[in-house]
Amino acid sequence: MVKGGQWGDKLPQPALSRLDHVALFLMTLAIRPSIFTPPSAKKSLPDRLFRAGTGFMAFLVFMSVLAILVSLWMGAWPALHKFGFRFLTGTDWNPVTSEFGALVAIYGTLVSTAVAMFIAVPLSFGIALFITELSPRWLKRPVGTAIELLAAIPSIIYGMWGLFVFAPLFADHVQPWVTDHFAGVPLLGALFDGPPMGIGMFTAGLILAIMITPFITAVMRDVFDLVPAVLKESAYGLGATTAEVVLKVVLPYTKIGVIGGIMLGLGRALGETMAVTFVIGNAHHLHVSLFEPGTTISATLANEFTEAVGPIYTSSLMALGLILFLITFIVLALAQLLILHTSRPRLSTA
Amino acid sequence: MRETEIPALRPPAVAEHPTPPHAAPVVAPITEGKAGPLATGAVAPASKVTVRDLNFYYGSQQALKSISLEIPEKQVTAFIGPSGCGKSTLLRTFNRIYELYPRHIATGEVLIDGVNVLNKDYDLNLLRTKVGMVFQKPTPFPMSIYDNIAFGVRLHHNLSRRQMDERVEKALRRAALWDEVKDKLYQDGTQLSGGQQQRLCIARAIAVQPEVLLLDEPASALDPISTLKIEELINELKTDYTIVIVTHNMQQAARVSDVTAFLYVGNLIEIGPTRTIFTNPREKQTEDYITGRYG
Repeated sequence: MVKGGQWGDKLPQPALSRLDHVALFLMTLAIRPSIFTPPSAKKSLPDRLFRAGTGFMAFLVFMSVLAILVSLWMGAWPALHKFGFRFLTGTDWNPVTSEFGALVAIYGTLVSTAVAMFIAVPLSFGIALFITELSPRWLKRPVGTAIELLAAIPSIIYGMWGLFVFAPLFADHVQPWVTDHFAGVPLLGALFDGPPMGIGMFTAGLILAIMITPFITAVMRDVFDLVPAVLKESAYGLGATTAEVVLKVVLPYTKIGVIGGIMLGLGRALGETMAVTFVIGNAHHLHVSLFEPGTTISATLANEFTEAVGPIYTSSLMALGLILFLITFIVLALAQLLILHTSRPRLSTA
Repeated sequence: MRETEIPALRPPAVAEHPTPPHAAPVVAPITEGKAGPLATGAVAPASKVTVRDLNFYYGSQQALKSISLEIPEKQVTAFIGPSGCGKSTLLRTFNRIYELYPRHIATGEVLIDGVNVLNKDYDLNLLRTKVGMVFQKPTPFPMSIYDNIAFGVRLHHNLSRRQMDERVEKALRRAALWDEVKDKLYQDGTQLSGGQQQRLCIARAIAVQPEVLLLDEPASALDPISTLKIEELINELKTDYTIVIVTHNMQQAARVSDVTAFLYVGNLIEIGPTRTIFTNPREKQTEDYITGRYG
């Protein structure tokens, strides 16, 4: 009679399978190198061929990651050798004097991503919550489909829209107001200072937020749907409101999946290139203000690779790529650690 | 009441005032004739819950057909019947938990202490503190044992730390779980065994000091020993609470209940003292069911 259906064995995990990133594979390999050694039991020839064939395909993935890593390292070596640790801390990016430091690009990557996450996570949470808990049944599908359509838009479209439509509107109507109202407020005043140009770090973060929201929302919606109906009924049965049920029962129950979804969005935001390149301004200057133009690693690469002259310039760009690779790897590895160490709610099926 | 702001969870208005004579007053008049709450000194125990002409629909499918019955106060009433007979559905109208789902509609009256709780003006928050519920499968929240118990209390009362400690201990003692968990109150409630989890859920329900306790097949997912403990617990709790239990285990109904109601495909076939139902049922259908001829 209880409308819960089977549960207890279906725990929020789909987010994991969606993080189909190479990093996961590498981590698996580090933990269990034995996946390439077949079991000792004697198998028939077709079986062995099949195993060898699919094993080889899987091995190719591993090899490509390794090959990319090695070639990035070799390409980056001249710059790393010349600048040493200074490459990470330097703020100069001067092709004329051949002086390159990656700090501005690293800073821009992290800050634009942070802005994006700051906007996208609460937004996705709200949308997912509405779809799963509050929306009337007939509205669930349209809202869900609209969100999925957002994910289908190519990133260059977002970039063009951001530059030609959003940025002018933002510069004319929002930026002056924000700058005026936050002027003098400690920290926020500095963050929202500067000329209203429309483009810059904040706009890039905003566009990124719109781009990653569908992914985070999709994962959150899926894990919220996995919460057993009886668990929610128990909370409602004690007199809890929808907000209380969501915050105190649904969210703790699904935290792993929610973290997974957030990390998926984070990974995308870190590496996104085209949309950001359009709207971030591409200036190698370090500013506190989010309204000032900046650059990210991927935007720098997209802009400058074709015009890079001289071995050190090219090598510095390779080194930037290596850094981005490492940042993304570290973020995903941390996400995995977080998920491994978050105790999974267990419900007795006995 | 905050719940009522959620339009999706509300049944259509048609559910609200099915029988105009009783619908208007929030405090309905006490029923005459039958043993109502004011029938003091009567031999029959006072009835805590009175169901009158209750119909229930899952969309267009009718699950309960004009049910009328009385639940005696501080006794155990069992609903028995084959799967799909509507016994859980009936139970779920008592705290209006069915309202979480669209197109689940109840018409008629469920009077608790003479007040129709199906009236949409009735405070859901109040109803659910008055009527606690425990489900078939244990549903501990993903939080510590202590917080599981405190969860419901915190929703309604702002207690000091010491008062809350007392309340938690009292509830756990009442649910015969205290000795097993007193040293690990801050461990995850989901780590307990199935039987312990179910007693935790009972403790959680009684911590908010309800008057009626609804148990929806509370032991059907448990092993025999845990089942026995739950049944002993039900026996103890009836001194303080009016208990309604849904079970498809007839031996269990015979063991724990004072009154038994037999439902079949949405109809109430027979209700009476458990001993009578099991030894000398009035209806042929009841006899067929309890002797295992169908179900």
